[in-house]
Amino acid sequence: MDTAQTRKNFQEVFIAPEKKVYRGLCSACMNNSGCTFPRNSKRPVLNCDEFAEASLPRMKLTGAGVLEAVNSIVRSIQIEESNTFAGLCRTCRLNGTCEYPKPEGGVWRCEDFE
Amino acid sequence: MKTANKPRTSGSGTKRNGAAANGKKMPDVNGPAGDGKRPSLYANVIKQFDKAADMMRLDGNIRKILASTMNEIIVNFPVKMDDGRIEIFRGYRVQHNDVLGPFKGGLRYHPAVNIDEVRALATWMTWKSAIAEIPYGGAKGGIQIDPSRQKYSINELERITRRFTFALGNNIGPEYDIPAPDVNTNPQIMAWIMDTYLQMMPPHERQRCIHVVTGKPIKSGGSLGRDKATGQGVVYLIERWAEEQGFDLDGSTYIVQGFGNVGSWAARLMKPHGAKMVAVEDVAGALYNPEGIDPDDLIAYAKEHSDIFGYPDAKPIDHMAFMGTKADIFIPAALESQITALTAPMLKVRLVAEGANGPTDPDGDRILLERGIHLIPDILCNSGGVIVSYFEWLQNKRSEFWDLDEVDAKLKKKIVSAYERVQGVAHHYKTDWRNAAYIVALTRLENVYKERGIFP
Repeated sequence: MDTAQTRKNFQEVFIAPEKKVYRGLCSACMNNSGCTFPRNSKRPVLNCDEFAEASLPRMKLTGAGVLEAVNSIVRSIQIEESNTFAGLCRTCRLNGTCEYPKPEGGVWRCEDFE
Repeated sequence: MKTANKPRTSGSGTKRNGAAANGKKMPDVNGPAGDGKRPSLYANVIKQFDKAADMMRLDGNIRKILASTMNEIIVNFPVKMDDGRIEIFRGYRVQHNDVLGPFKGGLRYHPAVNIDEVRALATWMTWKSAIAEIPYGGAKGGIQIDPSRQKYSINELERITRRFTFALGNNIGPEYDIPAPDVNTNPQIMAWIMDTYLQMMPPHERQRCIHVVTGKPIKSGGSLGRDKATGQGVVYLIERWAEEQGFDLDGSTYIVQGFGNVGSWAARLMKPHGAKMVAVEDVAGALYNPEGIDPDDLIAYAKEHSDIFGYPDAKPIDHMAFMGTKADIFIPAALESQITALTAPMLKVRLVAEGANGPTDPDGDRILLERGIHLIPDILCNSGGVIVSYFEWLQNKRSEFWDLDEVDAKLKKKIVSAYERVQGVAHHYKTDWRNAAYIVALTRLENVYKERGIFP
C-alpha cells in the first residue's frame, strides 16, 4: 500500500474529527477534538490548564469489516515506522506486530528476535 | 540506575513476557528526542537561558553547569495487571539542579512523556524556584502511560504508582527530591507515593518522611490553600501592579483565557475587588458580556456542563473577537503560545498576567513591549503553586498545620517580594520583565555557586 495513502487512511479512520494531529498533552486530552484554542501541530503542548482526563483518540468503528480494515492500516503503519527503529528491531521480522516498549536507544537483546 | 546527562538505553537481557501477547502498545507520539525531525524542546529552553545569560554576563563556568541536567533517571519496571498479565512501564525522573535546595517538581502520567520533554520541564522548575526564593532545585518526572480508566483500573494505577516509587528508591526523598502532582496525577497518587516511600523506611524514620511529596490530600498532610494557590498568586500580583500604577481595580475589567484551576480561581478572586470579567474563553469557545460575567455562576455552570459552552448570560464570540476584547487586564491561564505575532497586535489591554506556562511566544513578547503593554511573566506570575507546595513541605517538617489565612498571608509576602526583585532588575538592566525574571533566577544561582565553589 502506498505510504502516503496509508497514513491518510489512518488519519481518516482514527482522527477524522481533529483533522490535524496535535502532539504533547493534546494527544491524550479528552478535549482534543473540540478544542478551540489555537495550537501548532508541529509544536507539542507541554502545559495546559484545560487538559482533561486522558483518553486515546476516538475510533469510529461500526463493524467487524471496519475493524479488520483498521487493523491492517495500523499494521502497515507500524511496519513503515519500524524502519526508523534502532537496534535489533530494525531488522526483526516481528517488528510490525511487536508490542514491547521500544526505548529511544534501541533494543539490543531480545529473545523474541527473529 | 543513575546516569549523568545521558539517557539510559535498554540493556535488559531478560525475556519480556506478557507484553507481546496481551500488552497495549503505547506509541511514543513525540518520538525520540533529538531525532532530527523536530527541534528538541530542551534546546528551546537552553535558547531562552542563553538570552538572559548573555544579557547578565553570567559566569562562563556556571553557565556550563546550568546548561546541563544533573541526573537523568530512567526506570523500566514490571507491574501485574488485574488479569494476571505483566506489563512493563517506563518512568523518568530528571533532576536539573539542586544547588539551592532539594530537587522539586511534578510527576506526570501521559503517553507523550519522554526524556527530552522532562529535561525541559525540570530546567524550568529550577528557574521558577530560584525566582521565588524558595530553597528548592528543579526536577520533573513521569511515566509513559495513558492512565485513562478505560485502560487501567484504579487498582492497577495504584500498583503502577507504588512500583514506580519503589523503582525510584532513594532517588527521591524528603530532603533530596520531592515530587508533586502534574498532568494526570493528583493528591491520591501523591498519597500512594508517600505511603510506599514510608514502607521503604525503617519504622522509626517513617513519621519524619511524610514530606517526601507535596500536593497530598489534606488529611494525609496536605496544605490548605494549595488548590487555589496559583490563581491566588496571580491575583496578588495584579493587586500589587494596580497599587503601583495607581490603578483602581474596583470597576476595572478583565478577560480570562482558560477556565480550569488557575483561570477559574483567578476570576473568582478578582471579583471581591469589584473587577468585572467581560470575556472568558475555554476549550469549548469564548463568551462575552460587557456588563460582566459572574465567575461563581460560571463555575457552577461549567461544573454541571463540563465546559462554559451554552452559558445563558453571555454572548458566544469567536477566538479572534475574544483576543480583541477591550479590557484592563488579560489573564491567559490555558496553554502555551497564545499571544503571538498574530494575536499580540489585537490585544486591547493594559496588563497581561501570565497564569499559564509560556502563553506568549518571542514574537508576541516583542510586540507587547513595543505597544507598552505591561506583562507579569509566567515564571513569576504562576509561581503561587510551587510556593504553597513549599509551605506544605515546611508544615510537614515542623508537624504543623497552618490555617488558610496564614498560608495566604505568607504566599502574598513571598510572591510580592519576588515581584519587587524582578521590578528592580528590569529597571537596573533596562530590560523587559521576562528577561528580568530570568536574570533574577540566574543571579541567585550564580551567587550560590560562587559562594560554595566547585568540588573538589
